[in-house]
Amino acid sequence: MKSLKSVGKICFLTVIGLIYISSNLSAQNNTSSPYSYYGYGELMTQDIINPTGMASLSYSDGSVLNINNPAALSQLDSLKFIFQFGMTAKFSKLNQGNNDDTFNDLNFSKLAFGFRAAPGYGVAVSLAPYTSLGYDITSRELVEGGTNYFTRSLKGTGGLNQLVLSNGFKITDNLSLGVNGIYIFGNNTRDESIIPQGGSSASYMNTTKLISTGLNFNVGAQYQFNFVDNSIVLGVKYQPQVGVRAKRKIEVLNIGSIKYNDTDRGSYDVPEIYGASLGLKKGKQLWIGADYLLEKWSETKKFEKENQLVDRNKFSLATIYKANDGYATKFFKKLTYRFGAFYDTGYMRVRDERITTKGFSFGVGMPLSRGKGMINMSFEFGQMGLTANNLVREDYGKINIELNLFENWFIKRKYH
Amino acid sequence: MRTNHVLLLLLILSFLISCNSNNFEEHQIGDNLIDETSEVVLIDTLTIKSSTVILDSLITSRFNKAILGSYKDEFLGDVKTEYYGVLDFNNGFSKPTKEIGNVSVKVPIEFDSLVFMAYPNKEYFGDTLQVQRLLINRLTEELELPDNEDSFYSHSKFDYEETPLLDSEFFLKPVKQSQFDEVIDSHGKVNEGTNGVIDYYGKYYGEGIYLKMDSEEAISLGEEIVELVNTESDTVIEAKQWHRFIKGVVIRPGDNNTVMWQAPIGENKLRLRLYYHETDYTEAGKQKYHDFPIVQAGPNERLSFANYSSDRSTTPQQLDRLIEQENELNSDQTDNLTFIQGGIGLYTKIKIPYIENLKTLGLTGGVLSAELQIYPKDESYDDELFPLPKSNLILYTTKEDNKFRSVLPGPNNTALSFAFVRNPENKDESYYATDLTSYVNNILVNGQEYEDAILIGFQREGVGDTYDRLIIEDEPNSDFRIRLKVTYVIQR
Repeated sequence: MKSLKSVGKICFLTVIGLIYISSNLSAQNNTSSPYSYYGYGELMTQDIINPTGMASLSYSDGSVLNINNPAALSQLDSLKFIFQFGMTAKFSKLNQGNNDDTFNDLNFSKLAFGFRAAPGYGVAVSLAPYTSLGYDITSRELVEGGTNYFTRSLKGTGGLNQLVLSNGFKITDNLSLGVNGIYIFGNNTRDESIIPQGGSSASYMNTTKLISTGLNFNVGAQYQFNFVDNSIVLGVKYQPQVGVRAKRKIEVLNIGSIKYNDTDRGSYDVPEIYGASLGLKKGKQLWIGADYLLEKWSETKKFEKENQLVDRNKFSLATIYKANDGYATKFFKKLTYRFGAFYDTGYMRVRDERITTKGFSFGVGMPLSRGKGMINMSFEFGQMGLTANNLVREDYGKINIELNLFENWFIKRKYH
Repeated sequence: MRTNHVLLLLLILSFLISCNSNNFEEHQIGDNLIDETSEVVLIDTLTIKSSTVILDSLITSRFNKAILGSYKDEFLGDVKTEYYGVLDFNNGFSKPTKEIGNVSVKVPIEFDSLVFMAYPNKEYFGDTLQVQRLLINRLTEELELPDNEDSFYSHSKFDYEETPLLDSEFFLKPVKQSQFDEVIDSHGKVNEGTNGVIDYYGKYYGEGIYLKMDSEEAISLGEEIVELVNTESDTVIEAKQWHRFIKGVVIRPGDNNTVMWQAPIGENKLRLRLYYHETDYTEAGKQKYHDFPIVQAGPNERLSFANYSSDRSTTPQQLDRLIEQENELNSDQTDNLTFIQGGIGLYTKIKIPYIENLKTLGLTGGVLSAELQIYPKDESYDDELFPLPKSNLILYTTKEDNKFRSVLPGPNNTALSFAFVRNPENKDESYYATDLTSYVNNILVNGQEYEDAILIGFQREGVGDTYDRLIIEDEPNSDFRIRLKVTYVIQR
């Protein structure tokens, strides 16, 4: 009976999750940044534990689905089924020159579940946004060679999502390996509409969609050096450059008729990625880690054309402190505290400037009663871009709420 | 915390944030960051081939005004109309009767004179300062519509008596002469209060055109009608007989007339008036009259119409080369001018042969607007004598044969027409403009054939009812050329 009820609850949560995903694909954006025009859109943080953007390649925890390094899944607790559902609210202020503009975005950030399938083998399935488009820019321009104005609206919506099947294997007591099989789906929709000023009802609308239907993968490893009380964990990650299958659809509408309609089949590259991380575990309560990530975007192509992107370097630091030593009774002693900071060079260069992002975050994890799960909340503050050279700087705050539910599926109850 | 509380929290949060106040605002931030993939350009260098054509079969009957006169046009030659009018007998002209005691007695009448009367409307075209000649001839041929047609055309003609009923000169004063006063017109009396009674008996005191017809032919016609009245002939009682008798009249200008003008018909104000007097009893010798108005319709059909003709043999651009509808006079053969003229049926024909080349720009593209501009030839018009057209200039699609195909549609199911864009500072920079966006778009979508073209001129249903004309300048490589300004999006 118990497990039936759990299945019902999981289904219910999955439905809610799907509703949010569908809203992600249509109405709402994960971002409103004009920089999401570039490349494949704004890269969403894929770190599995919040605070987002933290180091995590060398982190593992029995009740955390660290999909960022699938090797960590080998450390999952037995008998535990973990369900995760996360949402992110982003409040941003765009600054350019003397102007500013504010945006609020809310979206689903993650849906995942995982469990230990066998001793030393953890498996997880997750769904999370990979890139997101949300630019919305309107400008009034002069017709070239004329005296009339027109309004150009550029709008990016949608984004790419990834459905990841993660497997983590314990090879030896110290070494774990993992592999993520990734299906990237969704579409990057770019609308450009041009409307002449005054009078005329004629307009021009170009919709370009990158529809992804392809696969890629990455691999990770964790090696743990044990000392008396402490241990040092080395985490690495590698992703080869892979061309992901996609369709590109261009449709031009002008005065009620389709002027151009073309669907191209081809592929776009996901970059080669090298990631390395050093983590220090002190007892069971404290972990400190630092990650370095190199994504070689400069070599990627989209439909056989250079992407005009630059390599991305990301440095991040994090620390996680579990206040509960196992005997805590006070509320604050039961929480998990997390702090992190990062510096991300991004993958785009605009007007000869790198559009970097830096930020810091802190968060708390609150256990649900009777060990049924954990609510993680985090707050991130960051800045993307710069105002020099008439560029845009985005100051943002993010609230991330993540619900972790644990179900003890595999316990056989004994009746006395 | 219980799971349910958490879900509630999530829902509330999502609700709050979903109310994003910026949804419908325009955001300009970041507009400089984006390398546009499309350009919006103004293209006004598309070749336009222009020519003048003359259309036949312009309907000139069924209109409620008679266009009369002639004008000398420095570009279009001597233009004149001969107006063929049905003469109505105004419910018949029967012999007057008098009650003598208890007996009705018919009273014979005697003819006095026949007069042509007209009250023009205020419209005119040409020079009113010159003396104008007006001739009226009696038709010798009955007005009859061509087989299977219900209208006459500008070239229709009927035979008339060689000697005119009236050949007279007058000055046209369209505004003054348009004043109509029923009492004065009918030689009535008006009670002016303390000033007593004003009596308009005898002389004609009105402002209208009043030309006495004193030719032998007019006198004998008058006498003939009076005789028919006295003999109580059916001819002056039955409409059919009457029309067989009189057939109609044609009103013609003299060769040196300088103005065209208009007389409304349908109000019985364009007419012949026969003055007579009774010969017996109390009213003997007293001035009486019977009016014979020019009306649209004969016994059954509407037959009155205008015949237009123009002598183009001395025109500077030798427009006499236009004879048949198929003739096309390219603007480079006519000093880079094209012509539009009502009545005669001149239309300007344009071809835009290379529109489809727009499609070769970029990956694809689209049209945002297309405006066709035409410049009236400087000094070819003025506000007084030769004004710009008052009728709308509209556009028809056509082919090699210069037949009307379809009218280009404008907004709200109306015909697309040109608007005059006046430049008060530099008059010569004023021009006509119309929106060809959907026409151009249609060609971009469906293509066009080599012979596809546009006729610009007056509405075909009304072109026989106007003397308006327009001289268009199409000087290649100058600002004053027929041009199409296309705002085009080029997708890179």
